Formats: sequence, structure tokens, C-alpha cells
Amino acid sequence: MRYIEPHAHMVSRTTDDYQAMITAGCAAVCEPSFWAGFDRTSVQGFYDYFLQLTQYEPNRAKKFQLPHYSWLCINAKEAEDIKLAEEVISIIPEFIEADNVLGIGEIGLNRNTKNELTVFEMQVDFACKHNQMILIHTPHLEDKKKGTKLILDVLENHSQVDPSKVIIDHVEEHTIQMVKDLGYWAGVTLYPDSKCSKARAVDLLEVNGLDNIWLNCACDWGVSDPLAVPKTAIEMKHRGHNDETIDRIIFQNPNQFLSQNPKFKL
Amino acid sequence: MKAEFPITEHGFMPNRYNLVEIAAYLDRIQRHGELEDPRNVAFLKALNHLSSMSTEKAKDILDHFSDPSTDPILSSDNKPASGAWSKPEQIQ
Ligand SMILES: [Zn+2]
Repeated sequence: MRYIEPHAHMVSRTTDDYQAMITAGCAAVCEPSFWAGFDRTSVQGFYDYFLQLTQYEPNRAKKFQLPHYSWLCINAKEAEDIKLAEEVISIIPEFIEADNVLGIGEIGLNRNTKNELTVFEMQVDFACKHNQMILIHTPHLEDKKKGTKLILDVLENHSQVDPSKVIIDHVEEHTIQMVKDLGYWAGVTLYPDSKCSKARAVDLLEVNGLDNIWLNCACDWGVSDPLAVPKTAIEMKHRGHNDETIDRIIFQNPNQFLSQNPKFKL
Repeated sequence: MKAEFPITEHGFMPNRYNLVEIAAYLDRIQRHGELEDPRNVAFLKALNHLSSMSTEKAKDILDHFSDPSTDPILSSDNKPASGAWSKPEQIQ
């Protein structure tokens, strides 16, 4: 089995996880910028994080022969402070040309506040101006459906957004179709308690089709499983999906989306 | 496409287990006097969807728990999502 893990927060994981992932057939891992579990107190905290994502972490992954890619941004959880967000966005150009940076993400909404939406619009605009792909986090739980609609409104109202270069992550049964209908890519996140189980993820593929969709584990500092993608491949096999279909979902699809940035090479 | 094992073969036991878990959770919140918690009120109402003939019961349940409003809010007061939207006056 070969697979791409398109969304994992490896800075929060141990080297054991890297070993397990390459043993399971991981061919590349991509790491969006996110909330560290606590609010950073200044732009300097983000500066150091971006150094970690563009220098330290790719080198750590290299020890396991695993190509490591990053996405940069200020996450939705810390986007309530607009002044801080402006400062963080102002340092991104320093890092955007790094060899492993694929685009802007994971931007999006957390509790669907006005300030989060303002910062989301700022970052969509930044991505378009710098010709970058976009990876979007949708809110959790009761906020997901409303947040996904607000996000789609912003994207649809921006004249320069190309839906084929935008992935909207953490879709579930009630949001997947609106994302796909407008031509955006959809990410299904395999995560305990919130988001999606392995069985439901395979249901989504069976019901909503195999195009423009990827699976990811989004493993981070919380209870999460860095092997959720290959384990879901086993669930697909149980359901009678053939090897070609499984390869398409866990390798070819993410490869197709990510390769739109020529920096992504396997 | 045919499943390697019929879906029921693979899914019945773990989902029988999940169903008993839900039943025991309901007994527990009743015993501990927490039925009135807005999350549990929404949970109990959501159970109605399980016996419907809809072919999108998972979607129906997720819709049921979702915030139906459309405008961004002024502030979340740093509160995390609860998992079940309830009308503002129901939130203590
Ligand atoms: Zn994430």
C-alpha cells in the first residue's frame, strides 16, 4: 500500500509516529499551520513556528525518508485578534518561497465570529495575490454547516479564487455536497469524537463519489491516529473496493491536488 | 461492488454495542438528573431521526445539531462549541 497523508500536525507527534507511517506506506506528509493548543502571545511565536514548519520539521521527517510539506497562515482559533493576524500575515512572504511550502492554510472559521471572517477574507486575498493554493479548516460540531456556508460565500465572492486549487477540509455528511457542487476539493478527516469515523468516511466515498476528495488523519496533540488513512484503506477493502480504487483515494487524489504546486514532488 | 463480508457481518456487533452505550447513557443522565441539559434535550430529539425512513439519517442528525442561523456572531466569548446548537435563551 502507498498513501499520502495530506493533513497531519507532525510537530506534535513523536518519532515513533514517523516510523509507523513510513512502515504503513506513507509517501509524503503535509502539515498545515494550526493552533498549538494555547494562544501564542505575539507574532514572534508564529515566526518561530514557521521556522519549525519550513526548516526543522522537514529535516526531522527526512531522517525517516519521508518528504514533508507545509502550509502557512494564522489559524482561525487565533484569528480573533485582527492586529495580531495582520502582523502574522505580514511575515508570511518571508517563508512562502521555502521549498516545502505548498500554500496558505489551514485558514477558515472556528466559532463563526465577525473577526474570524475578516481574517479569513484577508488570507484568501493574500493567497490569491501570491498565487497560492488554499487549505481550509471548517468549524467543528454545531458550527460546521453555517461556517462552511460562510466560507463558500467568501470564496464565491472573490473574483480570483480558482476552486480547483482550494481544498475544504473536515467535511461531513451535511457539508460535503455543497463543497463539491461548487467545484472545490473536499477533505474527509478521520478523527475520534468529532469529525469522521473510518466507516462513515467510506460511506461518503460511496455516496458522494471518488472525484476531488482526499482522506486525512489531522493527527495533532489531541487523541488522534496518525495511521487513520491506511486503516481506512483496510475498511475500503472489507467493503469490496479494489486496489485501484483504494490507491486512487489515498494516493492518486491527494497527489493530483497537491501536484498543482510544482514544489510537490514524489 | 460487493463487500468482502456483508455489511451486517462486519457492522452489527459494534453497532449493537454502540446502541446499548446510548441506552445506558440515557439511563445515566436520567439517574443523575441531567435530562434538562440543552445538549441532552437536543440529543433526545435527535433519536427520532433514527427510526425515520430517510436514506440520509447521518446527515439528518448532523443538521439537527447544527446552528441554523446565517450571520457571523459578534463574539464567542472564547467558549468552545458544545456539539448541540440551542436557541440563545436556552443557554444558561
Ligand atoms: Zn489541522
